[in-house]
Formats: sequence, C-alpha cells, structure tokens
Amino acid sequence: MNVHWGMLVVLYLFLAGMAGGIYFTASFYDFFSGQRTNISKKGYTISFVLLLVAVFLLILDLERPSRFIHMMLAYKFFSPMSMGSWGLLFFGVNTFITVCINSEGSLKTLGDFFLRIAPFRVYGLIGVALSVFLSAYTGVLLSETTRTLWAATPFLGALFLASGISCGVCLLILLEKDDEAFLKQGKRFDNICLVVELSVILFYILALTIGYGPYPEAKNLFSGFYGLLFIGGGILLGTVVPILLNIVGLKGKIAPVLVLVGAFLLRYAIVYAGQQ
Amino acid sequence: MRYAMLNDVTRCIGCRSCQVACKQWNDRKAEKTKNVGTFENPFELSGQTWKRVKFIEVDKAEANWSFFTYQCNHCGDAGCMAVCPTNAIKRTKEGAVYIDEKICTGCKYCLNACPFHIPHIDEEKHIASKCNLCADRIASGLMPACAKACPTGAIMFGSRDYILTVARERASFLAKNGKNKFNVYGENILGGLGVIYLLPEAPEVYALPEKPKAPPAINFVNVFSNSFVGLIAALILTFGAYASFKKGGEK
Repeated sequence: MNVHWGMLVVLYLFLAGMAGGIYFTASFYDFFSGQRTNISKKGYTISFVLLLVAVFLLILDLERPSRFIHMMLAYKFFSPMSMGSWGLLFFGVNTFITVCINSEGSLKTLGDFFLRIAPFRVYGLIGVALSVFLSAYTGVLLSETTRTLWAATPFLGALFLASGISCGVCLLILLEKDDEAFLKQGKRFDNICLVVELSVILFYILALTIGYGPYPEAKNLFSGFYGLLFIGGGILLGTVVPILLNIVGLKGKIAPVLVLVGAFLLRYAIVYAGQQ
Repeated sequence: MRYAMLNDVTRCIGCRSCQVACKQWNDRKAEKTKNVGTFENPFELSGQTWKRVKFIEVDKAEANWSFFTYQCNHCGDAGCMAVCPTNAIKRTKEGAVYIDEKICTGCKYCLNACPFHIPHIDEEKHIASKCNLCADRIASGLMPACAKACPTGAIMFGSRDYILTVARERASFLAKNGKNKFNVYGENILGGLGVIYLLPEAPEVYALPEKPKAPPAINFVNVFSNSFVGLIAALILTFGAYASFKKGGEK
C-alpha cells in the first residue's frame, strides 16, 4: 500500500503537538504559580515559532501549496483537517497576542492594545483550550480515516495530547538553565504526562490486540522495523526510561532529550505502520 | 434520480475497451507500465488511470479466469467527501462523486479515507484524482464512456433501481443454471454503492471488503469517542499541572 503521508506530516504532527504542549505548560505555570515568569514568556514565543514552522511544513506537504487558502474558505465540523486548520489559525492568533503582551518594545504597544480588550488571564485560558485542541487534533486527524491502526481505537487523540504536552515541558526544561524551581516542578509535571501517555499507549495496544480486535494490521506496529521504533523508541526510550530517570532524580538533560526523541519515533512508527 | 453502473464479472472478457474509453473521454495520459508477471496492464489505478481490469485466477478443479473491472464506487456515504477539508469532493444529483480540480489542495486526506483505496494523486496537476462516472456525459443524457464501449454488456448503466433489478435477476438466472452462488455486491453497504458488482465468487476474491467500514467521520462515533478520551486526558493533565506548579510546589 502506498504511503500517502510521509516525513513532512510526521514532523508537522510532532511540532504542532509540541507547540500546543509548550503553551499549555507555560500558561499553567503562570496560573498556578501566581506570577508571570520569564520561563513562561520564553514558552509563548517558542510555541509561536514552532507553530509557524509546523504550518510551513504542512503547506509544503500539500501538493498545491498555493491552494491552502481553500482550507480557510470552508468549515466542516466532522473533517478534522478542516477543524484543525481553523484551530491552527485561532491558536496562532491567540499565541501572537500572548507574545505581544509579554514582550518589550514595539510589540508591547500592540500587547497593551489587546490588554485593553481583555485581561491577560482570558487570553491565557483561551490559549490553553486551543493548545489542548491542537495537540489532541493531531491524533484525531489520523483517526478519521479507514487505516485500521489509526481508526480502530479512540485513543490517538489522548495519546498525542499527552505526548505533545510532555514534549512541551521537556523543551522548556532543555532551554532553561537557571530557574531551579521550574526545573524541579517541570520534571514532576513531565512524569505525570509520561505516566498518562504510557497508560494511553497500553490502552491503545490492548484495544488493537484484544479489546476491539485482534486486528491483523497490529503486527505492522508491533513487529519489524516499525515495531522497533514504536516499542523500543516510543515506549521504552520515550516514556519508560525517562520516568525511571525522573524518579531516581538524575540531574541533567538526558531524560528530556529521550522524551523528545521517543515522541518523534512514536509518531513516525504510527504514521508509517498505519499506511502499510 | 440516482444512477448506478453494473459491473457484471460473468460477462467481462478482459478486452480493456473500458480502460481505453475512460482514458480517451477523460483526457487521461498513457503511462509507462511494468510487467509484473500477469496479463494486467496497468497493474494499478493512478492519477491517470481511473479504471482498470483485474485478471484473477480462481483456483478450482477447472481453471477459471475471472475478469474484474473496477473504479470509484461512488458510495452513498462517501468517506472521501466527508473528510475533504475544502469541499472539493462533491456529488452530482445523479449520484456521481467527483473532485473539483479548482479547489482540491492535494492534502491526500481522501486517499486515506477511502475504504477501497481508489483516489490517487495526479502527479502533473498535484491534486487528488479518480473516476467521476463521466458526470459530464450523464448530464448530457449519455452513459459513461466505459459502459458505452463495453462490447459484451458487462458494464451497464441506468437508474439505480433498474440496475439492482437487472443484477438480482441475472444472479438468480445464473444460480439456477450454474454451480456458483452469485453475489450482488454494493446494494446496501456504505449507503449503497453507485457501482453494483455481480460476482461469481466471494467479494474477498476480488479484494472487495465484505463489510467495508464507513470512514468514522460519517458515523460520528470516532470523533466523539476520541474527543471524550482526549478530554479525560486533558483534565488529568490539568490537575497534574496544578499539583506540580502550585505555589510552594517547588519545595
């Protein structure tokens, strides 16, 4: 069977999920710690940049890039790609507003204008809702097809959401050097994300093998090259090992790097194995 | 009125007139093809080949060569149409599902949503491409080019009710006079197909799924179940963020 969605789509799913995850983490770090921190300001900016890169990759993958505009001329509730296009637009605009509000210089003037319309907290909450939508939609997009590995279970949305947020936390941890409080709390939150992700993966595997199936197509994901990437890369390197490293309190950046690599391999394996 | 086509496998002689007529009427280009050890040519559908004849050897006491002509099935519940983000895939009042070339972005969502794996990318125009049931001919009161060209009546065209009656009567006649059980395929699946098949063997012999799954976008279940599970995960993660980031949580 032909592979219709390749590396550009895998990268798009990875980066878009991470953009949502960073916004989610940065925004909640502000909310719950009761202060507007530098790490959050950095997070909003990185989220916006990642989103731009992700959209660029998405448009690049289209066979007719100039026709991306047609995505914005239609609205279909039950087409995840249509909903996702609108989600990308709204999330992008809201993240840009957040960046303006938290920046200095000329963008600050624009930020002040937006603050006159609504307080920062409103933009933050809207952004969190949109970030959850963005990260989860990358999984739902795959589910609304006739590819068995993607469509047979209801878990891909939750899986990509947990994985995307985990990637967001990890990227922030990798980029932060000084804020010890965030590093400690970030690792704790990352462990929660990883446990949720691992649980969803287990449900996904059970659903494919005994719950809904067994589906013969499952062997594409659980054996061979894609099995190695999914089980060895996505599950062991990307979730199990980082959880253990976080539990033993290993200092350094090994665990976040493994999470990012594992999350990419997880998406790569699911996207490619699903099209075999 | 909804129209349909009948592909009667028992009448097909594998002459490929339908393939040629399809290419001619729809301005599809010739492609370089490979010999892969069968008499089939071309071996698969493509952006330039919207219809082809499969040569299927049925292994029985007597060797049997079954010629199976196929193309887009113009499903009543068309998954490609449901997921298309730009409304580029449309249906005529006669039931033909076609791709509007001006709007298609080539996102390939329809390629992944079709249970029969019919749409392909037209490599020249960079858009999705598939049989349109010769919608322009039907609108002018003509039958599709393949049906017109078929020399044996293996491809018939008419109102869907008429085609179903013909298919049932033919299946009944053949069953009375032959050894096989004849299957009428496509009557009720996926909202009723716009192409009905009369098959002398089980559908899987022709790589037709017996119960093709409607792309989940149509029955809503997957959208809601995915969203529901995602929402639960989001709530857990929100609580996790609160537990991790709350004031004094760094201690």
